[in-house]
Amino acid sequence: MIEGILAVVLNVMTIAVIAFCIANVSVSLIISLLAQKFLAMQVQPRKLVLWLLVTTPWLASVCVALLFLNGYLSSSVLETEIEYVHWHHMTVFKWLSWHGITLMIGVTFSSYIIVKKMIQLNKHQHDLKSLTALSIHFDVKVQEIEMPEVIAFTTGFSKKMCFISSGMIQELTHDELTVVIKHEKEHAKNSDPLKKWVFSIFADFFIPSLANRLKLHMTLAMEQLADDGVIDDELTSPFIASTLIKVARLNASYSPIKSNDLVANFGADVLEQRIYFLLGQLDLKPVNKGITGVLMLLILCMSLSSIDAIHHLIETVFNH
Amino acid sequence: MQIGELEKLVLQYLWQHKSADVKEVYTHFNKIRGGSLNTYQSTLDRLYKKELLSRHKVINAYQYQAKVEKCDLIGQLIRSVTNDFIADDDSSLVAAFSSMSKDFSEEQLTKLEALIEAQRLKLAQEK
Repeated sequence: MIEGILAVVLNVMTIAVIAFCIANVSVSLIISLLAQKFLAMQVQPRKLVLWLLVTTPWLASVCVALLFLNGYLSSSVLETEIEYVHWHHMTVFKWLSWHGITLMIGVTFSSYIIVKKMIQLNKHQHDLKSLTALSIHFDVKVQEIEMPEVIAFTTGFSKKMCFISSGMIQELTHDELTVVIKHEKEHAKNSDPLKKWVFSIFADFFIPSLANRLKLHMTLAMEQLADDGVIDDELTSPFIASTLIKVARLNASYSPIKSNDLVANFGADVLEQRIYFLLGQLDLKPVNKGITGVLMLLILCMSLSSIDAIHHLIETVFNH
Repeated sequence: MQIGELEKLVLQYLWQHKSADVKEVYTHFNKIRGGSLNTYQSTLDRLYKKELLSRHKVINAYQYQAKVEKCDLIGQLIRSVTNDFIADDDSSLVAAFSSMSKDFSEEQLTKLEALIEAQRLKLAQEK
């Protein structure tokens, strides 16, 4: 049994884990119900909403943990005056109790996600160095990969690099190639590879189907912004859209068209959404800040009030 | 897997020449960029350990051959680097042009093309 200040810290951490889970479930419900509505939001605010959604469980857990800590440090205000939020035996902590097991599960899962992402990052960096070594200089911060397939992508965190295949260089006209390179440089300018990676860490704390949906929405928003950044007097939106279609056709000629898979179908919508966006066919609306604020506040209140309910519910079955 | 600059050069030499021992590799590169026999021996060893080369003994020296073709290695590296953001084993580190376009039907592409053409005509008329 642990007593004293260390026990307080461990109890607060346990509270944070529970608050995280409650907020996570709440956000998951919001995503499940409103995911299609995101498509009707303007792109930049949509990106902010997506960031807010994936970070809300963390923000809620920190806020709730701080409130409980503050309550304990300021003469247990929360325990005595606001009865619906309190924690039993704040100065005592047992590893072999539901408090301890909850904390261990929370820490283990978080460590698993972070270690998995770090291993992926390490492998990615090594493979990227090898790919850079095997590619040839094409333009400023653009490398050419000798391969017949039509592919272009941007990657790298601090040293961002665009890659374009020789197949794409051969198949596209000068203006089409300019579209692709400008699009990739927009991704580099916006630091999209780094942002996508950080976003995916937060998203991976949700159930996989929701995590994929969140990532797909973020991908679409990033692609739409990169497409938007390409438009100028010379490169019109219909021309950019037709370049996208041409690349899609060329891609399809190298790999069989897939269908009837949830991700693939939704992925297909990404191209459609990009074209509609470029052609101004989408009636995108600003985000309602009031509703967003109220939803976030509700999640925070729910996380705060549910701690006590969960505490009592579990302790009717288990002891401390 | 990380490939250094010298490893890349040696690999490219073996992709061109199919098979060579360390002396042949050393003789070729010594003229271009210098370096000792040991440097090339250790480079070949590293590539062998990375399973990019195979080797067999001929009398007292190893003959090295590229185990993977250049296009296969590049394809493998691209797959690793561009693992899709939405896949289960995503790397999420890449922003790709038209990354999901291959999951599209011909009919849908034609429909979108008609839409683009209509928009183009509309813009032309406005001018």
